[in-house]
Amino acid sequence: MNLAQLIFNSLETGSIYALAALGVVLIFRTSKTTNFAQGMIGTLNAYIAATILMKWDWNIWAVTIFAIGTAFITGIIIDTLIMRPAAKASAVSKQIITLGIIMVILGLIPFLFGINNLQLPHFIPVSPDTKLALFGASLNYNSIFTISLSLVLMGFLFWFLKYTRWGLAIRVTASNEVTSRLMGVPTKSVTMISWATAAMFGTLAAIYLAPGGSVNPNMLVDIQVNAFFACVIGGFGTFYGPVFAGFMLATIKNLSLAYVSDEWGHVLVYILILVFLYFKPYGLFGKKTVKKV
Amino acid sequence: MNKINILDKVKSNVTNFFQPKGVFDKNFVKKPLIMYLIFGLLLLAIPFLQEQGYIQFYTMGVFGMIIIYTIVALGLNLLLGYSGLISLGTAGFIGFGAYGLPFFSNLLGLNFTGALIVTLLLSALIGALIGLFSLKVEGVYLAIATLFVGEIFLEIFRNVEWFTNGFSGVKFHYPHVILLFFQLRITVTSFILLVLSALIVIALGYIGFKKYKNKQKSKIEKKENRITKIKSRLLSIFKIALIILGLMLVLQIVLGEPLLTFVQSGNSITTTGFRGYLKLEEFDRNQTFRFISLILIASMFIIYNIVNSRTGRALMAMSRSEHAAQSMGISLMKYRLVAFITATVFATLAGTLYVSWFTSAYPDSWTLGFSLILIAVVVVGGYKSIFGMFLGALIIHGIPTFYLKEAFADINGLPFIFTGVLIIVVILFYPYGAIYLRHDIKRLYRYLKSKIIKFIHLIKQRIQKSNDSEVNEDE
Repeated sequence: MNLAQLIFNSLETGSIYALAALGVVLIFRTSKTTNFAQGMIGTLNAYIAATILMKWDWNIWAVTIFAIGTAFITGIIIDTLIMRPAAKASAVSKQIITLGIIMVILGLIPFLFGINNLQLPHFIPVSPDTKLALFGASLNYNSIFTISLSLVLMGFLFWFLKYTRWGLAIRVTASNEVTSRLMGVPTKSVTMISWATAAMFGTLAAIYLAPGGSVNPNMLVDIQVNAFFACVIGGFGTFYGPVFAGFMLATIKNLSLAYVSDEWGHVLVYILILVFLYFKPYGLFGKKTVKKV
Repeated sequence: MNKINILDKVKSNVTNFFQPKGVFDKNFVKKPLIMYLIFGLLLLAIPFLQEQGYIQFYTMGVFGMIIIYTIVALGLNLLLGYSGLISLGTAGFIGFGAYGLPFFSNLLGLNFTGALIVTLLLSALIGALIGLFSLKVEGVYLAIATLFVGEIFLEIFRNVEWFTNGFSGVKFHYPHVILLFFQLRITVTSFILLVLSALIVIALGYIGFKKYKNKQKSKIEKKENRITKIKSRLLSIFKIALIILGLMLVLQIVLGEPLLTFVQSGNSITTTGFRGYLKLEEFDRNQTFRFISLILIASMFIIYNIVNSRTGRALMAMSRSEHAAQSMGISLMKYRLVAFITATVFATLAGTLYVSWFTSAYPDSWTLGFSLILIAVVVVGGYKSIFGMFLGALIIHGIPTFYLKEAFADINGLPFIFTGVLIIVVILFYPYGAIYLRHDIKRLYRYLKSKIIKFIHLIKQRIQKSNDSEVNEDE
């Protein structure tokens, strides 16, 4: 595999990592918890998409839009029913509550959709005709589409955060929830919206990933872990750090697998990142949060 | 003059030795150490019930797993409950134990005990590294750094075939334990003997270690004091061990059931390595179960002692405020290392027990999900509680596996939903853990009791009234 192909593949994986990482960091900043259930919420909605596609024979575009809608609803339900009553619990307890959500969804999936793995097609069918040759790498139209769609979405989110009133509300809540509530910011709606957005991103990542394998309960576990890694490398302090780190992580991992070793490539990358973290404990773009007594 | 002093000393020693501090105390049974021993005796009933056919073969396997969960959770609680640090790499360490034990016993030809020691030492080394790392990185960054460690282990388990045998997994045997030249045999009687002799020792007043007053003034004196402290501690451990062994030997002779037997030299030269010289009997399944429960009780003892010592107090102080703790002279590095090393060693120990109990291990068991479940055991069971860990393991692993799977075998996924809802509900309503349920139960009991007493009183009054009126009518 040549270098151009490697980088192209890394862009595709990186866009999935970046979407997932953005969801994680959004929830971390507004709800002060690391959401382990993000991948599982995405998987649940991917199951919904695949089931509708199979039963009612909708096409993939319609199904995707529908699944994103259900993801929005899932996020809101989880926030209002589970996270809001637990707002006063400690950080670790909240994390374990998200584990509880994972377990519930893990149980719901065979209950609602059966135990078989499901399939989802590509957005643009992959065949020799729908390929583009560039610098000796062959690019699927579908991959190009997913990369550009996620870039556009992330760009839209950044614009939204920076230039709209709701974006301002989210940023303010992220920086200090109590003060912003005192200032009249509807923090409850803000956390609700951020849960819904994160769920939508997770669902999109799941739908991107599904055609390569299948829709199964463990499909996003790996993505979830790598999203956390991206958040740490980029730092939880900013919204753009994790996105950048997501693309970077995917590239480094692919390069080390190709050029270093099949067995030890990932291990080496992880150890290097740990060493990096030792010297920059708040990530690439993060700053130390000063705690006032 | 001198003679009298010596006589006095001897006298006081003898009276100290036989001082029946514990037995006649009203709260003797409520002492934690005694409760752990009684708990051990209860666990002993499980293989016995299985032999009699009251419990299924499979259920006993689940109980073994619950005990393994409890051991991990005990170590993890020191991090999560007492020091407020979170580790997401626990599953990796359990996996390391499960793979390290067969690897070292096959590669180096070590016996069970030797391979166990090597594995635990290695994991302690890695734990120390994480402890050092934790001085620099904090909060959610530290949590995900430990996740990195877990993922590194997972990658190694999946890809490095010479260590883990890849996806086909490793096979192992039930353990056989030698202590010097004695082989451990844990039969029912010997287990009871062990616990009984420990009980007697504690009853005689040898609980824990003697306290030494700190009267030091100069540095040299401080140093000397420290040395005598360590010496006396070692001496007291030695004394306790000696007394337990002596009692066991006496009881062994009385009842004819040996706990320790000499290792016989084998007559077969065909087997190579160290094992060829020794003829070791492996435990059978029941003995392995007793072995695991023995280790669980020992772990409870160790954690109880750590928590109720200077170390435990230092950890709790650190969890509240690192800066305040440091200003009181607590060395962050020392206690961070203690916490992380203990947690990793306990996890690895549980891993070695896992592979000796289930006699096989596969790479895909040691994921982030497993680490999260272990954290859930601590959170649901109750921070800063020792029995809570067993309760948590029972709730999280036990109830869904051996009760619901049978009851709702035809509905897929129900056990998972049950566990998930239970985790959420327990955290919402018992934020300090399910172990605090007992307070509510007590309160309910008291409430009901008062109500019933009132009710009875009322009825009595009524009866008396009616009796009185009858008497009146008669008149």
